[in-house]
Amino acid sequence: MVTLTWPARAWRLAATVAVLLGLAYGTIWGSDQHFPFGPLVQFAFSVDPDGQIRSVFIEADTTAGTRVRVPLTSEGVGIPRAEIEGQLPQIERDPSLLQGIAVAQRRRHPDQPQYRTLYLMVEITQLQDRRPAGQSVDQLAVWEVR
Amino acid sequence: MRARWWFPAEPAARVAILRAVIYPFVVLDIVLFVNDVVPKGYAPAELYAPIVIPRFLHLPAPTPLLVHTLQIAIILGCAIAATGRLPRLAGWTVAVAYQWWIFIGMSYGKVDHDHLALVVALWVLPTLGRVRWTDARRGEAAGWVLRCIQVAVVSTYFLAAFAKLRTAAGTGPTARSSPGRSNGAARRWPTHWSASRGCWWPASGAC
Repeated sequence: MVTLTWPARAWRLAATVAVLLGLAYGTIWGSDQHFPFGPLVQFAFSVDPDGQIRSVFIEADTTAGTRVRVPLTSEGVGIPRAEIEGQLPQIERDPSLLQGIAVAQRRRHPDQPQYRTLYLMVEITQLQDRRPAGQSVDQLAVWEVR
Repeated sequence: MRARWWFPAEPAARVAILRAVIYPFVVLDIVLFVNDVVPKGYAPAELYAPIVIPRFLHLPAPTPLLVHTLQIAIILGCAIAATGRLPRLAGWTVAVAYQWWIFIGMSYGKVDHDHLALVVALWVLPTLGRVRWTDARRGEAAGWVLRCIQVAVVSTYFLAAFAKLRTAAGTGPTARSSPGRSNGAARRWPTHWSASRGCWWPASGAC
């Protein structure tokens, strides 16, 4: 058997303790901001039985005169939908952040009709006793692409 | 917990086998799972919202050059490390590049917590030098590597239960009333996992 010298053991233990403390902090007090120590949220959220499910999407008026759903995927504009949802408060406060979506689309798909106006939308499903009871769509922000 | 528990004497060959399994998986991971880092390199820097550690380290907003460099470093490093050659040089390179890669991935609003074990594995695997598949010698250095990965794997979902309890108590990471920057979309947007990165709520577990 190959044993470790005490310094080799000491730094390993120190690293182990540091990571465990980080995880404990993240679990008890942390937020996503503390990744990778943040609370290990794996679907760990709950929706009020009479609450709402809000699903964000973006629509765009294009240079071709059409209104399209912006593909919020890695292959589409390169910014997945969840990222937009994650930054929603910032975007609502400052819709100019949507300019980034138009720029990303222009860079990634120069051959497609470009976006002229972007509409940040949310589809709201109202729950009643855990079942869907009606849907509505709300507009959160508009941005005229520069 | 006794310190000795962290240093069981295990065969070095197990680490060699883990290297052959984990490093190819990392390549798979950057192609299939955390695969939006390259597109983010092309996205405008305004959407870059670095989380605590990358902000502390002053990691710049990603550029196409940076993300492709990381991509190449990870793929080359994994190709070498998987064979067991240059375990420290290739291994640390992958650890640093992959850590940076997921910091970029998690700095655009949404954070996934399912990669803990993989990240821990990449940081501990290079702590052991070159070992062969047939190396049956038992050692504490190998044991510590395996123990760390084991604990990380179990923690990923064990600690998720505590995250869930915090949520249920209404004070947790997904409580709607929490102030501050959107802390994972879940705070206000319970559906945020539904269609991202191929994860479908509530059917599958790991996203």
